[in-house]
This record gives sequence, structure tokens and C-alpha cells, in this order.
Amino acid sequence: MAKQEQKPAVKDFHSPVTPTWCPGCGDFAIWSALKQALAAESIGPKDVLLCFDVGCNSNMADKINAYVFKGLHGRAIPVAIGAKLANQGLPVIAIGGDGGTLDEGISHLIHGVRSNYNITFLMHNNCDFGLTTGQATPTTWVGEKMNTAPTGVIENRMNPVKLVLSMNASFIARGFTGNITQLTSLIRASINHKGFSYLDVLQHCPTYNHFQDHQWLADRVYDVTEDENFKNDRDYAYSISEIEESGVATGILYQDPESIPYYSRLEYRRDYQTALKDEVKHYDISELMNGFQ
Amino acid sequence: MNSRYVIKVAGAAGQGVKTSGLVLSKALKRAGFCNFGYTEYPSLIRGGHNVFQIEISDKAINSITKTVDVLLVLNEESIGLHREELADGGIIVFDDGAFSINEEHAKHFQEKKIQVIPVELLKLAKESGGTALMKNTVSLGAIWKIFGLEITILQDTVAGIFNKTEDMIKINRDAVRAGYDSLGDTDSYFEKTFTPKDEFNNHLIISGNESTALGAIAAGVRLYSSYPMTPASAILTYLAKEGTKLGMVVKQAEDEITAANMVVGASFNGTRAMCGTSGGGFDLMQETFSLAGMTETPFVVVVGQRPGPGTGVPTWTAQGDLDVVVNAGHGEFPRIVLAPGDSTESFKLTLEAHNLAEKYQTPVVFLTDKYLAESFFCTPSFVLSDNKVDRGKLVTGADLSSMAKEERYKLTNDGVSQRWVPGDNANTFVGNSDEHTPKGYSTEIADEIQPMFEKRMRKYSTILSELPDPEVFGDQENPSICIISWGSNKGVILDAMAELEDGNTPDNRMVFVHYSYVWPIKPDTALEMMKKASHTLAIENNYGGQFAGLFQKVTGVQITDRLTKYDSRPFYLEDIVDYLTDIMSKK
Repeated sequence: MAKQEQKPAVKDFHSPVTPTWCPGCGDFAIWSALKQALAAESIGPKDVLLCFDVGCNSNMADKINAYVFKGLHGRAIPVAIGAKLANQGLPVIAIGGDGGTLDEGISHLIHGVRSNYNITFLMHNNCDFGLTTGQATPTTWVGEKMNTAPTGVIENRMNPVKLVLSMNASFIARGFTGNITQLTSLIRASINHKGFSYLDVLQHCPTYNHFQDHQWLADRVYDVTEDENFKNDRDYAYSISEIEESGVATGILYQDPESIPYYSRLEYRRDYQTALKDEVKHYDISELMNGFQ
Repeated sequence: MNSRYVIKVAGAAGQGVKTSGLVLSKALKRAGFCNFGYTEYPSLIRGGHNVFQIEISDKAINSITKTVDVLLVLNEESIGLHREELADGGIIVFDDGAFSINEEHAKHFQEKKIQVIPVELLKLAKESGGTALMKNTVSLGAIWKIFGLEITILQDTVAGIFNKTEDMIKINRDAVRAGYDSLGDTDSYFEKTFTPKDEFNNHLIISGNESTALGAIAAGVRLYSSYPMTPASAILTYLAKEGTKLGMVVKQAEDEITAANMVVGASFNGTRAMCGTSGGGFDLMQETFSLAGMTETPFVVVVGQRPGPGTGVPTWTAQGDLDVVVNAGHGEFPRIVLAPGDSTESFKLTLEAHNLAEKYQTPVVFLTDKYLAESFFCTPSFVLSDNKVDRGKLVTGADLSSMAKEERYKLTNDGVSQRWVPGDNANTFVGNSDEHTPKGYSTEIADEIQPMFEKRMRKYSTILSELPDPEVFGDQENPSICIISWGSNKGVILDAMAELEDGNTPDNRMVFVHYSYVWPIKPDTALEMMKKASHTLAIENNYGGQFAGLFQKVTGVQITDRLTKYDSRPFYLEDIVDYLTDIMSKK
């Protein structure tokens, strides 16, 4: 991992562009935790690529000083995996929302997890579409009245943590925008994990989410380290994955210590010390051509 | 056609029709004959009807014809399906013992003076020490004898391909011999005589797809991501097998959207990447295509055309997606469309596609079709010495430290700004799908949007000033007929021109303007030729005459005579020759 000569400071990530989020939005907390995590990991603005999609979360793209790509709604993950494959040494963090990721981009999430690319995926999970003014997402509660479901959402609620667990995800964590310290440490752990890190961030949306708001979450969240029965095991993670009245588990819910990321599984790349980005040159195909004679 | 022989191998899918055809194709080339291989197969794996057609000549040829001289049928169904294609005095070789020729067929062959040659494929295969699998090798021996060619050439070719064990090599050689000898001593089946030429000995027998795959490797493509779709799948297969040996990362993605976004990410991060698909898959990629245009990320996609709309006719051919790629993606942004005319152009233009994508930081479509992608060309080895990797305004090394944020999308005269990649020791920037400032920050300010829009669109004038003019063949000084066409029609048009020059047609001064750089259109050469000729026609393998339509949009000049074809078949040599003859006769 390329690291700055001088330890980067949080202020190095400062961008002159002012945030446009609603007052009280959970995005401020994620923004802050992300900058703190990168600085704490000694990753400077030039040593990271942040891949955003489209939504309130992705309006962060020019509010943070770093190498950034802002792509299409729900499609931060495939850009991030392409970028990571081009330069394994560069930390790549994909950032999306629950709407884009679990609707249009769900195949990217499923196959990203399945292939275990060595990237971090941070999902802002506020249970609604904010930027398009308050429609339901797959994580909106059943029965909630949203502007495209005036009599209430009738579809079942999706639990993305369960989804990625079922795909044998190698790293699953859940954070909460009411706890920036914990969130910072979860982002750091995600970056350091070898494989696809899924980080679900439960966040407050003061404008459109009046069911699972900051206070509701604050009253129920606990860190798995406080659970004396907790063990690092997929079945256990499954058993605590629901967002329930009785409590909401946060922290690292599961991490596979033996995780082997996609790139390391490519036998034919084993002997390469270089990155794909450094290998662009003319290749002699004479021998291959002989096969056609 | 007097200038060639045609062999057709026909049978059920799974009977090894394509493998037999390719062996024959290679052996014929090694015997000094140019040949062109064309495949037909349905969209299923077993039980369907498969055809491999080989056109043979002692001159360079790149097209198919309608009449068959030697028909090898591996199943009974093939007799009825293809007997009408056999020339009077032609030959049919069949698998004696597996099936027989019924009376009605026999009568037809007798009337047409078609020789029927039974070969007991299974019996001879077993006598050679092989199994039923060796039947095809026996049949190739028989065909070789019909043409009176030196047996060792075929034996060596077969042995070179089926070479796992010494035993296998011996059995295959013996099986060729058995088929060859089964025809007895006769050695004159045909009146036409061709003189073998040494120049063909070292040619390649290579498909468009394989040429494109080699081009990608040579161009330094380090990531190929694709979702399987005919007729582009063979690029994925070839690169998965051979590209990976050179360290290329080859990923079968979960869908075309992923494949395209991976290319954007990889390219943004500094490597060369490519994806490949057909029309339907490209439809899915269009949002990403537009993203590449907006973020000025080099992007290369292979679109192998097949007949649409919808699933269309999946394993057949068409040139119906030109309008789609020229207009692909929402919004307005520059793109380049390349359509190679043959295997050599497939190789060269794949390299060129990547140079252009990096030079102009904009999407490039590499437009092929099933006919080009899956036909086998007999072509000289590709010239490798003049290949260069041009990364355009990519900044590296010491220059990086002087890169200010606003250099990345700076408003330049040629529309292209300097580019560097994440991880570089330069100032950071945002590659932004939103309209943006030179630093990449999102903007909704009119005075910032308009100049940035114009900067991107200025690339078109830069591209047009630097792209080569279309290639011109034939009589450029005093033509009477001007043919305008593009892409894979090149071979059949050139062959038709040669065919007509050989004849005694009075007014056959033809000029052919071949577009392989199809978009943006450089019209001047075509307009000049059209002015000189008294008649112009456009030839296209689609319904609407899409290139002619674009040409009219760009120049205001309408090409009214359009030879189009949309029955999922490529142009046969006769299609073009007859049409041109008709035009000449009306003069």
C-alpha cells in the first residue's frame, strides 16, 4: 500500500466544496469518519480511490479531497473492482446507498461479494431515496407511507446483511452514524481486510425517514463486543442480523480470517510483481501467431 | 465461379464439422492454395445442422459463393439440404454404412452428372486402428484424393493437431491414408487446374475474432471483461486461454453492465482494458458508454453484430447496429467507430482502437459482425514492427508534480486535456459523471457547463483532422461505377471487382471506397469518387442502408442506389457480381 511520507492529517482531505446535505443528515458522520479512518491508516488523498455512485451519499464525491470517481446510480462496485484490478496496491473504497445498491446495483453487490475482490464497500443505509425526494427502497419498513407508496409499502423488507452472509461474504460490519468513533474503526478494519468488505452504515435521514430515525437507532444499537455470547461465526452473525425492537447489532459481525481475495486466486498472476497499470506496452504475439499457420 | 473450387462439409452439431473444415483449410493453405472458411450453425449445441464451407483458389480470395463443387455429408439430412447447391458435374462424398443415398436423390445426381462417392468411414477408421471419432479424418483423406494433392501435407497437418500421443498420431495418419486410398487410382475429378503458390504456405488461417484477440494482446490490453454473447464469445474464450498466459486478467463478468463498468474503472486507474459483446449486450452497456464520454475515460468495446431486433437470429450475420453505436448513450459526446474489413484490419484496428481511445479520451466502438468474426481468412502474418502504443496525453514521471487539479479537465483547443491516474503523486481530481468544472467538481452553472460541453465536442474536429481517409480500390482516375461500403463487405466487393475484370464486360471501370473508420465520417474521398463516376451505389448488410443514411446526414448527398441484404446471410460473391453486371448492362 502506497503511503505518504508524512503522516496525513484529517484536514488534508478538506475540499473547498461545501456539503449540500440536510442539517442533521447522517452523511456528515460518514464523511467525517471516512476522513478520520484514512488519516489514521496513513492513507493520504493521493493514495486512495473513492468510487461513488449517484444519490445523497455520492454528493460527497467533490466534498472530499482524494482521487475520486463518481459514476452511475448503483454501479460504484464494478468501477471499483476494475480500478482495483488495475492497481492492487491502491486502496479502493466504493460508496453507495441502499436504494441504488439494493435495487439497480444488486447484482454488482452479490457478485462482488461472491468474487471476493479486495475492495471496501460502504453502504449508506438510510432506508429511503433522499435525492429523488423520499421514495421507498428495499430497506424501507413495510407499511411506511412514502411518496410513491402513499398507502404504505407492501413489499417485504430486505436485509442486506443476511443477503451478503448467504453469499459467504468474507467481511461484514455494521455501523451507525450516531457513533463516529466506532464507525471510524469499522472503516479502518474494512480497509485492512483482505477481500470484499461489506460495511452497512445505518444512518439517519432527517427529511424522509421518520420510522428508523436517529433516536430509534440510538436506543437499540449495541456493539457485538458487548455481547458475551458473540462468536465470529456465520451462523451467529445470521442470528443477530435483524434490525429489531430488542436490539440492533453493530461492529464486525463476521470476518473470515482465511479470506483469499480474487486477485490472489489468479494462478496466472502469481509471479507478477507489477500492477496491470504498469504493464501497458506492446506485446510480441509472434509465437501465438505461429499457432495459426 | 471459374476462379475457385468450393468444398462444403455438412453434418449434425457435434459431428466435428468445424474441426474437419479447419484441418482442411490449414492443409490446403500448406499445399499452396488460398482459401476462405465460412461457418453456419444454429443456436443450439447438439442435433442442429452445421456447415463449414471452404472456398479455394490460387489467388487471394475473401468471400463465399453459392455453388459447391465437393459436398461431404456426414448425415443423411445434409443430402437434401444441400444437393441443389452442387454444381453440375460436382461430387458428393457420403458416409457409406451410416446411411445411403435414396432413389430420388440418386436420380437427381444422375441427371446433374454429379458423381456419388461412397466411403465407408467407420470401417476404414476401425481398420486404421481408430474409433468412430476418426471417421472425419478418413473423410478428409478422401477429399484430398479428389483434388489429387500430396498426401503427406494432409497427414502432417492432421498429425500436428491431434498430437497427444504417438499412437494417436499414427492412427490419424493411417486414417488419412485409408480415406485417400479408398478412391482408387483415379486422379482427375475436375477440369479446372490451379497452380499452388509458395506464398500461401506461411499464411495464417485465422478468424476475425482471433485476430481481434491477438490485437488486444499486442495493444497491451491487461483486462478483458465480458459476458458471453455470440458472436463475440470467442474473443473471451481465446483470451481466457492465451491472454492469461501473458498475465492478462480475463474476467467473465455477471452481465454486460459490469463488464463495461470494470473497463471504465480499470482504464480510469491507468491500464488498458476492453469488453466485448453483441448488439443486445451493448444496449445494456449504453449508460456506461455515456459515462465514459462524460468522464473522458478511454473505453474500447467490441460489438459483434448479429441480426436483431430482440434475440434476432443469434448465430447469423448482419450490419444492423451501426446506427445504434453511432448514436449510443444518452446525451451528446464524441465517439469513434471502427469497422474492420478482414482479419488483418481486425488485428491492426484493435491496436488503433486503444490508441485512439487514449489519445482522445473518449469511447471507441470496434464494430464487427458474425460473418467477419467467425469466418477464417487466409492471410499473411500480421506485421508487428509498425505497431506502437500511443497513450496520448497521459502524464507520467516528473511531470506529475506540476499537475494542478484543473489541468485534468482543462478547456483545451483540441478538446483533450492531460490525464493522470489515482495513486500518482499529483494533485487529485474527480472523474465526475455530473457535469463538472476543470477540477472535476460538479456544476450546474450555465457559464461553466457550456464551455466544458464545447471542449468535449471539440474532440470531433481534432479526430476528423487526424483520422485517415477511407481506403480506395480500383480505378480512381476514370471510374464509371463508384461503390461505397464499410466493414466486412470489403472482401466480397474486392473479389467481385476482380471477377468482373476477368470477364469481358465492356464498362467495368469500378472504384470502391472502403470505410473502416466509419465514424466520424471523412466524406471527401467518397465525394470525389462519386463526382467522377456516373453511377454510385452503397452496399450494406442491413435493411435501411445505415451508412448511406449517416453519409447523407453529414454531407447532404443522398446515395439512392443501395444494395442491401437482411436475410441474416452475408453477401455472396454472386450477389455483388450480378448486381454490378446489371448496372453495367443498363449503361
